[in-house]
Amino acid sequence: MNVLIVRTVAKIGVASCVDSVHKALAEQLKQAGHQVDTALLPFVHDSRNLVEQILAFRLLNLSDYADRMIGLDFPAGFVKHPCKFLIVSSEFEKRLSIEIGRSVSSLHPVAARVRHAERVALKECKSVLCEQADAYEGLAQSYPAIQSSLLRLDYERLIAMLAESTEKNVELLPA
Amino acid sequence: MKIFVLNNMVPFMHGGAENLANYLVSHISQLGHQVRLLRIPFCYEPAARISGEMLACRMMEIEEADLVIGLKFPAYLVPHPNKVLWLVHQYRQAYDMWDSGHTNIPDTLQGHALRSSIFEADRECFENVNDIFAISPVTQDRLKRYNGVDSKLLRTPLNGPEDFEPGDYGDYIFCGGRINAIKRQHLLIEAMRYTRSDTKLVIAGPADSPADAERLHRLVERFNLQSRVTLEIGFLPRQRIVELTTNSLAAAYLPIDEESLGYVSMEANQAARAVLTVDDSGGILDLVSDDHTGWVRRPEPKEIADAIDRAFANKNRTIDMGRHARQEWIKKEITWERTVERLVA
Amino acid sequence: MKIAWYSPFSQRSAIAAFSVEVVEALQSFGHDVTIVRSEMGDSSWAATCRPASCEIVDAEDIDNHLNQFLSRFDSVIYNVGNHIENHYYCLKHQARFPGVTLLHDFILHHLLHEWAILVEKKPYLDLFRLEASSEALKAYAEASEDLGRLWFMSEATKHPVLRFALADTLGVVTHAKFYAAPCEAKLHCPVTTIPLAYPCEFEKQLPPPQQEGAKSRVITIGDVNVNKRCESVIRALGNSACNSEKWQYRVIGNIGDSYRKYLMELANNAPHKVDLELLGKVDEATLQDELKHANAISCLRYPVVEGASASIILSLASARPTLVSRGGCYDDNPDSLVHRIGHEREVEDLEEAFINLEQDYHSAVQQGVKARHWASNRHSGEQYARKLLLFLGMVAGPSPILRLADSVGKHLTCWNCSSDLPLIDEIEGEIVSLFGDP
Repeated sequence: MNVLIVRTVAKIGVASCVDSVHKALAEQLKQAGHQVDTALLPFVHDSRNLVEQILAFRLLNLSDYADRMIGLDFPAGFVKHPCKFLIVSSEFEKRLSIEIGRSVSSLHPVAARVRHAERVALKECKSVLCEQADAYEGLAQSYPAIQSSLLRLDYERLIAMLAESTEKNVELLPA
Repeated sequence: MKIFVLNNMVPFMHGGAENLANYLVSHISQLGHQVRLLRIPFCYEPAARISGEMLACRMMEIEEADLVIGLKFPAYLVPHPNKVLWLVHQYRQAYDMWDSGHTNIPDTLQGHALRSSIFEADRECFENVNDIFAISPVTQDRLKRYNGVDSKLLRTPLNGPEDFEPGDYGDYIFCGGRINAIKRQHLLIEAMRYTRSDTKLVIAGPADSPADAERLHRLVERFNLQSRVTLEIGFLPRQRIVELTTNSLAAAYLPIDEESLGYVSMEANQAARAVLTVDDSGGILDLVSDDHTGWVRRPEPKEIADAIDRAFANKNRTIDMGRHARQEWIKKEITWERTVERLVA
Repeated sequence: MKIAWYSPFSQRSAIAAFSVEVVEALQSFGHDVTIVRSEMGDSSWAATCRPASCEIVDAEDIDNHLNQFLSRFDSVIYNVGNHIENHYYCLKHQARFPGVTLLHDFILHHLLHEWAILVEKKPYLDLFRLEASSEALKAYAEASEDLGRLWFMSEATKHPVLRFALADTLGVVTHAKFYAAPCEAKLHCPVTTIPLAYPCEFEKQLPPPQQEGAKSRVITIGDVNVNKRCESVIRALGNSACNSEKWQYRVIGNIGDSYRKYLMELANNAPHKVDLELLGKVDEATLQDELKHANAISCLRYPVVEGASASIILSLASARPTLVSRGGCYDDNPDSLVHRIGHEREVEDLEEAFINLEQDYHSAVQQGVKARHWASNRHSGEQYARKLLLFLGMVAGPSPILRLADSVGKHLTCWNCSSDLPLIDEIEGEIVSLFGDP
């Protein structure tokens, strides 16, 4: 199976927990006999052009070029793919929509738009997996209607999910 | 310095441009800079999706970089105030390949509109970069002809040149690289049937398709060349390529109008091997000087056979030509250190 | 601007009184407002209707063609409070057509509780745990034997739930500063604080209070429960001879029999018997008369859970010395204009306050007059409308989506793309589905 990992790179020289998740995940996927490739996209956490960047991610044309896509965190989760999985690896507080509030102002009208977009992107996922409990709780609090599960570095389970995934998208709880 | 390198990626396809980007990043890092490679998907089929992919790149943003180096269309459209291009590829299907009919852009109103928008996006980008380097004179010419833009020549260096130190000279001509009709390995096999009996040829590399491999096998059988032509078709480890190059008598590389010098010929020159090529092979002609550093013939089997015969008839002369080739190659100073210096200057 | 104003609008609703004030101010600024009644259709709260100077429609009547109806407005305002019968359609319609929320209560547990039962047909806990912290769940588990009192009256106030009701809001207006930050943290949307507007024409006209008889009157207004701290007032008055002799305590509002009995016993059995009158629910004229003859008003609460207090606005507007708790919305009132009572030393602080009032009532009245002036300006419909319009402008524009469309248009124009490029339709659809309607 061809598995495309999509992630973003913001600042040079700043280590991210996504790096280690990425490395371990790619390794295990290869060991399991899958072809793995990675798209590395630029991203700037600045409310002045957030919606432009998010739209840019939506315009990428990957649907026919991989059997499965794994997004590592937002904003990679905005990229479209018919069989998309999302790993939320960072602490929830560091996630996109919250950073807007910190870096500029949560009063910025962009914040509500980004939350809307996140909700749309989350719903597209076959599965949303959180590495840690804080991310899991944070996701449940911000998006109560989105069903996610804890991954805790259990990539074997994820790989099994990739193989078993059907057309059904992420489970929605009543909002 | 903090540097981003912008490259495209077609998922699960790896070629020379990917290797080039990796080596570039590695050598920038070796010179003490902080560097990250960006790999932006560009899946150009269907052509109607290209505008969206161009727009995607145009709307992306890069954070806190002192320099951005763009390599290919449309990744090089990602904006940055301090950007240089080391142009590997424009979207050739809108330019020379459109003219030659080898394009996926339809000859319709929409197709013409797309082509026009690619021209304009390139124009906007080229007007806003600090410098444009091109990997070959062919790329430079194309840029000048279609976009009216001047550029500086900055050839792609050889990767890991220290691996290709000259070894003992062997008794075969080596032709490496991807195997397909454009690279014309079949022309060498067809030539071999006209050569003297002590000549040998080794063709090694991954075939683009099973049909490409099958075609060469069939030719070898048809001309009964099994004892003199060896095919090692498949993805070979680097060490095997090094062995085959550094133990050969000479090398051959006959692509159709290729832009770059070609890694096969650069590796051969580094290993002090003379190179046989043909007069429509493109960039490699800047490297091969007939009867001095190799042989340049017309793409005809009998003419190529004549060059092969000469290589084996006077091996000392062939070895001398190989040594000349190495000297000329080293004089060109096409090294990663020089390349990175120029890009980040 | 055309504004749809979702609100309960019965005679009984305080939020309806607030709405009248602000809607009239908006109209006076030239805006076109339609009131959309948010009560459940079969609720007794929907039985009466206030007069209004604009069109009133029932949310129930537009439920089947909501987008068609609301799309003719520039802004939709949802008044949300902690009561499902009054705010049912605010929740229901906000999820389908996001607007700006005027959040009247910080604590929405009752709303969630009723929403869970009536709408989701699920236990409260099932929904609560979706946005509750582990700490909140632990507190809930520990209070499970006494949910009505321990949880809903005390512990729940420490663990606000907002997302279930406001996940889709474009922005939130709070009426006190204390819950603005939690709203921002939980909802990640624009949040601003505007002091509640409340009608107090009668109160503003009252002459300053005078010490008329042998005893001064301190009053408490509103439904009587432990939250209003009547016990502390009785204890403070009963602890000293001077206070019990000089003050009468009058409690105006609905009270249950057992609690009435309990308070009367407390007053009668105090070290010094307290002159207590429990008036029960009274009509408007009686209430006005009580205000007129009051020498001080107790606006104490514990815990302080309201987003804003109409009682304190009325009290300050009446120029009566006002006893105020610390914390919550009460902290927005300057110390120099009220008589501050801490919770830790509530009885002692009250005792002291009553003595001070008696000793220098003249100064207290002067302070009350200043407080009237301050409250009349601060809590007017006009100031609320002005600030709300500013906020709407900020939330609604400059729209990031319109800027995005401009940006896309600029690039495509620069590249000579024609307006019939199929990509343009695709991008338009993508923008709407991703970011919501511009």
